[in-house]
Amino acid sequence: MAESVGMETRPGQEVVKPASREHGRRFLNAYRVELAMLGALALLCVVLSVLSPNFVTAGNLRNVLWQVTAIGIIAIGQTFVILTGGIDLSVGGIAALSAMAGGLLMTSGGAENVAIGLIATLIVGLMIGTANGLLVSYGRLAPFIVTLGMLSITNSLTYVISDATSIVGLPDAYRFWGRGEIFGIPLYLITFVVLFVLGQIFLSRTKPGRFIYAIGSNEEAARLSGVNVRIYKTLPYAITGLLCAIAALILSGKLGAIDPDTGTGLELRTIAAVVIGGTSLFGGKGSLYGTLIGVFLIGILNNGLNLLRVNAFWQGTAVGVVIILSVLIERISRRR
Amino acid sequence: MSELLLQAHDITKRYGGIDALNAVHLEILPGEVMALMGENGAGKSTMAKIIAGVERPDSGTLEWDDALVTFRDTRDATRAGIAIVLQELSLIPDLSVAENIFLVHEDAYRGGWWLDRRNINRATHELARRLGWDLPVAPDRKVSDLTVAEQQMVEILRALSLDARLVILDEPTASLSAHEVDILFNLVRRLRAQGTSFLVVTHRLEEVFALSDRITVYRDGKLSGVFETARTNQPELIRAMVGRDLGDLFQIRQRRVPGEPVLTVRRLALGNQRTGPEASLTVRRGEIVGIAGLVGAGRTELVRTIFGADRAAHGDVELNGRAGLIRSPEEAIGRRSAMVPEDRKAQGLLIDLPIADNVELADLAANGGFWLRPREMHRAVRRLQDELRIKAPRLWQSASSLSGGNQQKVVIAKWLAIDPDLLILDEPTRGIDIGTKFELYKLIDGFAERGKGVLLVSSDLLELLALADRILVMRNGAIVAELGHDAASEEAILAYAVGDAIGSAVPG
Repeated sequence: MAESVGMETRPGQEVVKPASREHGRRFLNAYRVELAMLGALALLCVVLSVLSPNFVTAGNLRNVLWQVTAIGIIAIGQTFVILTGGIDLSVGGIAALSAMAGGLLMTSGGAENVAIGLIATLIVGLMIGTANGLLVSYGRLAPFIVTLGMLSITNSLTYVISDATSIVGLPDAYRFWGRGEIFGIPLYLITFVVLFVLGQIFLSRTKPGRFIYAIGSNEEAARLSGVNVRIYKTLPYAITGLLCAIAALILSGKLGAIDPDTGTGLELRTIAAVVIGGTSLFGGKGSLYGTLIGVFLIGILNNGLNLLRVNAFWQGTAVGVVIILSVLIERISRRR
Repeated sequence: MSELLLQAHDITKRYGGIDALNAVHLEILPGEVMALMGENGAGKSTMAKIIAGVERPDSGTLEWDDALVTFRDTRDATRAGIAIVLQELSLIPDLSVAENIFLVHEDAYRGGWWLDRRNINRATHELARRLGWDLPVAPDRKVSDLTVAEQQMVEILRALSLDARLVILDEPTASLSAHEVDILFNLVRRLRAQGTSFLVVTHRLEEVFALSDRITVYRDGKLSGVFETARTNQPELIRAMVGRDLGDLFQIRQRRVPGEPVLTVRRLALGNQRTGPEASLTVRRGEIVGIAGLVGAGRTELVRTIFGADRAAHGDVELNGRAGLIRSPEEAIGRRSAMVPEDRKAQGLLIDLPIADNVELADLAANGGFWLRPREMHRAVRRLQDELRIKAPRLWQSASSLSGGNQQKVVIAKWLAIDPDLLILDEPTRGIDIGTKFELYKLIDGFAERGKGVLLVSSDLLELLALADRILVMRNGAIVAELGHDAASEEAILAYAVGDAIGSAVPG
């Protein structure tokens, strides 16, 4: 939510309320959906820690954080896309293709230039994302259709260029992003935190961030107010492409191999996280904080079900129920 | 036993901390037309919605036919015999006229299931005949193909098809031409003679005097007065609505000598025409140029093309000395022009976003750097809020919490923030109360006084006559006349707009 600083007055009158109380009210009002979901998350954690003694262990916490990172990085971009009223169904495919293309480039000709591999991956991700964005904004095609088609294309291309085989035996330097640690904290987690913070600053304190909300709220009004809608509608998709590439590098790094089916299912999970976090699919309403809560909710839910030795096939049901409940909560909270 | 058809007592309705209605009353007799007047935010639409079951009051009672009633939803109200036609059209675009009218009538469906098209088409004709009304469109036409005025007629037909004893009309003539207004009024009079009552929520004083038997006035959510139409007059009503005496409308405009041209349009043809009318016009600094014409004359299309919102086929738009077609609103703003669009909710505002964000938007797009500057912007917003007297308790609340008049002020504030040299306004006071209208008129005149150019599209002839230095009349996509301030009159404008121009050569 966009924020303005200062005290509120009516024209010609003295300050009506002390600033701090007014800020508090504003905060509660602006983030009421997110706070509701935070409550749900807290409840879930409490229930799980009661039901399973292994929940609150350091090892389990690591597991949860890994889950969160994998979905979370891409969910940042997905949040931007959905805020503009669009959707990106191709994220899994972008992850796979960018990682595979970069990996092949890296290992081709025998030479193992890690830097080339990494940069190529990022560039491919960025390019595919930009292609999505251009088709949506300049081509004026529906995001659902464009990204659905792109998902199909990228998946198939990944198998084509890799001949359906994984790249194994990745050099350590390449794997550092997925496996490395700085001061005992996994690099992937630091990456996620940094990206999240950058994303939040982008969304709430910059012009493009404000325009993303504007376009999602009322694209025509934004256009008539002088916003270059085409550029700012392309941007979220491009960013998402890049984030997919980063996530793919981390995933392959940790795994030690680049699989052609990297990122399968990421589209549904990232969209679920964004929606559970209270962002409206119609655009214009929502926040990254909500997505963070959504990502944790899904991550902890999956983790909890594992701990409780629930049949893995039930996880889909659990996530689905949470999605529906969260949309209901969003509807009720927004009704005022 | 009283004679009253409807009696609303002590009705209170609160929206998020603001009292829309504060213990108000309303009485309607059978077979009468009651006008409900007041400024925006006075509560008239809210009361209409409560009576029709669209909203429920927080407290108070409703008596219908001397019996206490509670309407849980519009179906309850409909079953009791109350129908409403709201300002926002609620037709289903992909269905036909007849299907829309008879959507919820049970006998439209054979065996309760199958929609009988022939039946409802015939029933539509019969309905029109019974009302003594020449059906303006065929019942099987798709609603989305109709003009806004025709759609409004269909809405009214739908309400009347319910055989209601009380029909509520909320600003019914907003999109209707004078001719269509006549038809509607005759219809209302005929039905009134048959015993149907009408509650007409309106701003338009001429219509109130033409049609109503009694007038109820609300002010700031409270009852301000009930008048018999035959025994009251315009100043009394205005005083009841606004609580003060208003100066003459025609005192607002100040005489100015126009300066250099700020806008010169040469042979502009709109985007989808290969051959067609070309428009040429000039607006000078300090000048207010009005554009009149019937609905569908092409006024909005023309100004949108000038602003770059729609594409032009060919022509030249010289703005502030720079020539060339304007291809986007972004470019128009770069050349120091601005447009307040026709539909403030759909085109002018980001309705879910905070008021402050809305006011900042154009300035941000035109002049903003990468980083937002909250303190500066907030100061600018507050300055504009003071200047325009926007009544908003909290600037961070969403724009949807404002009344229509204040919403329009927000849109205008957005444009004032970039200090344009040309301001285009398309129906700026539609659906706005008299008090705010006057404020906007003074604003528009003040804007011209500062040496800017104004292009004003309006269906309100009085408004044009009061403000404009010159009035251009459009018909069928072309500018057919130009009337100077002293030569202009309602009759002259209408004559050109409708087409039977007396001495059809364009003057001057």
